[in-house]
Amino acid sequence: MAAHVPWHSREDLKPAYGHSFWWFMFGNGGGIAAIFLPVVILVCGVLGPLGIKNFMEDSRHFAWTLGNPLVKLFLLVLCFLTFVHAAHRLRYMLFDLGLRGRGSVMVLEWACYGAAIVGTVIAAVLLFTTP
Amino acid sequence: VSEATGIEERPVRTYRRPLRNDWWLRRRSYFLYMVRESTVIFMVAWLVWFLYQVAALKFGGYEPPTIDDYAFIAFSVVCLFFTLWHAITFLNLSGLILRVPIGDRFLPAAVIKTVAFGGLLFVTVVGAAIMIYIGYLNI
Repeated sequence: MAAHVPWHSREDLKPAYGHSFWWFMFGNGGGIAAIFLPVVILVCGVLGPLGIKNFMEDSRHFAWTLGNPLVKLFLLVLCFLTFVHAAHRLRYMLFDLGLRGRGSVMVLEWACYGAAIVGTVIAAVLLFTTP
Repeated sequence: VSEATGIEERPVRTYRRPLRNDWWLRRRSYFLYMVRESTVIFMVAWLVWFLYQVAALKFGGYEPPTIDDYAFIAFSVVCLFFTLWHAITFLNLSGLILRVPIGDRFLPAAVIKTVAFGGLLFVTVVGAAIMIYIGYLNI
């Protein structure tokens, strides 16, 4: 009979910290995007071009709005969490579509999460150096 | 040979049912699952457009979209449709996922879902009012 090994010493039962981190970010990103993104697209992407004024009305209003640090922070958090959420979903969607090899899963993870981080860095640079 | 049973031990061979890559076309529910997964593509696409506008503002070439930009309006409508699809499917699960303990019981799932959709409605109305109000400020 095998010797008793405490659960916290068993290699096969150790928590997957990496996976739990990305899943936590995925869950939060999904919630934030679900609540905050529709109104931004509705106002700036649909109502704005149809003639309803908003903060993207012209460069003065856009720059004035982006000049507020809270707005910058909000947009950065929205971008970051949405990108991470998308990365996690795309990683599993592409897995479901056939990219299941051991090597391809590793490449997929690096590509998806890497793109989310690069996108967030670009967003941070743009938001915090504009106007 | 196992000492306990006397049976010859061999490496365990498990059967893996092959999964074709078009499995998600077999049932409507599978297809809708994949549509839900792909909603993020449109959400990210719209945010990339928004960041492009921020870059245009930074480098001095910003021009707001007008009613003549049919392609952009169509793009935004499609992105809004899939973003709402994401919002509804994601918030529908909130009652199942979020477990809010009250004493020795949990807050009913229907209450959590109502709060989640109420939050979406509140943020949409208040957010739209603020964003439109800024457009009318004399800056």
